[in-house]
Amino acid sequence: MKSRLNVIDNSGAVVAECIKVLKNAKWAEVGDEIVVAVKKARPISEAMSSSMSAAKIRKGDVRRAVIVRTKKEIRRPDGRYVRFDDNACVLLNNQQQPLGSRILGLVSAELRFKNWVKVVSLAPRVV
Amino acid sequence: MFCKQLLSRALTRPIFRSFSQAHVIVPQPQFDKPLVLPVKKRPNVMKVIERESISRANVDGRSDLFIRRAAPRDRLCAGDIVTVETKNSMAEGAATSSFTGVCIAIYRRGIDTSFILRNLVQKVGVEMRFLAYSPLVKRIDIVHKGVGFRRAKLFYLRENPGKTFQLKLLRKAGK
Repeated sequence: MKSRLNVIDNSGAVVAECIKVLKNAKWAEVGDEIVVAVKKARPISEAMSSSMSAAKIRKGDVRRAVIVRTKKEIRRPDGRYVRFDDNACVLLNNQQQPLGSRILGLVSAELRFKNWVKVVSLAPRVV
Repeated sequence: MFCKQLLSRALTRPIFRSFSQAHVIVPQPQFDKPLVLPVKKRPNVMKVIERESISRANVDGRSDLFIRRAAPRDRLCAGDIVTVETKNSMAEGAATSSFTGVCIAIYRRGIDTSFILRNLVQKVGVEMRFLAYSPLVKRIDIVHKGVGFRRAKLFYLRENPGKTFQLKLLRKAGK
């Protein structure tokens, strides 16, 4: 079974399943790009869909995402380890920019070192 | 005698003649003088090194928090609420970040002593493991002593937190 991640932006997706790791490795860490299939999405009302210009994410969409939190501990260069209670990601568009306009939740500071500047600036809290 | 001359020549000449002196790196002692330790008949070298390195890293008395035999009110225990201030880099005057959480585990490993703090930040549980004697760790403060924790490792708090994380100190730190 593939890893499921919570989607913590306001793109409409709620749960995504990782279907590909976009680096030459067996697993991805915080700050790595992955390909996800959306497994659960928020229902899109008809009124909203006609007015909104942003992309509508439906269940079954295949998108790219960046991992922002992992349950597996991440080692920092000074010997510290950080572990979150869940796995979370933020959906991206083809230009590697976040799809949603807001990020709802905390993200790991590893994203700063891997140059996800936009994601870090949108996040309400970075640990 | 011929042997004596050979021996004296061997002792006075440098051993590696093919190397010039510049290529030989002589390790310099890291500290100018050793710490004065109580005299013991056969000290265990690794224990001596461990004690010396802890004394050098122990700039603000933080090793007192990790003495296993100290009274519970003086030492760090599982269940205490701790604030750790860390420098962001080794540069002079670097910014500091702080993390407050409940200590859920302490690993006493000499110089590699570490502890894990857990808190709920923006409703997500975050655990951070700090190395006690890291030069980047500026301060370790016990903000509140834990009451009623009867285990050394409180990993059960991940599933059954109860009211542990409802304390004002933790909730303020988690915003």
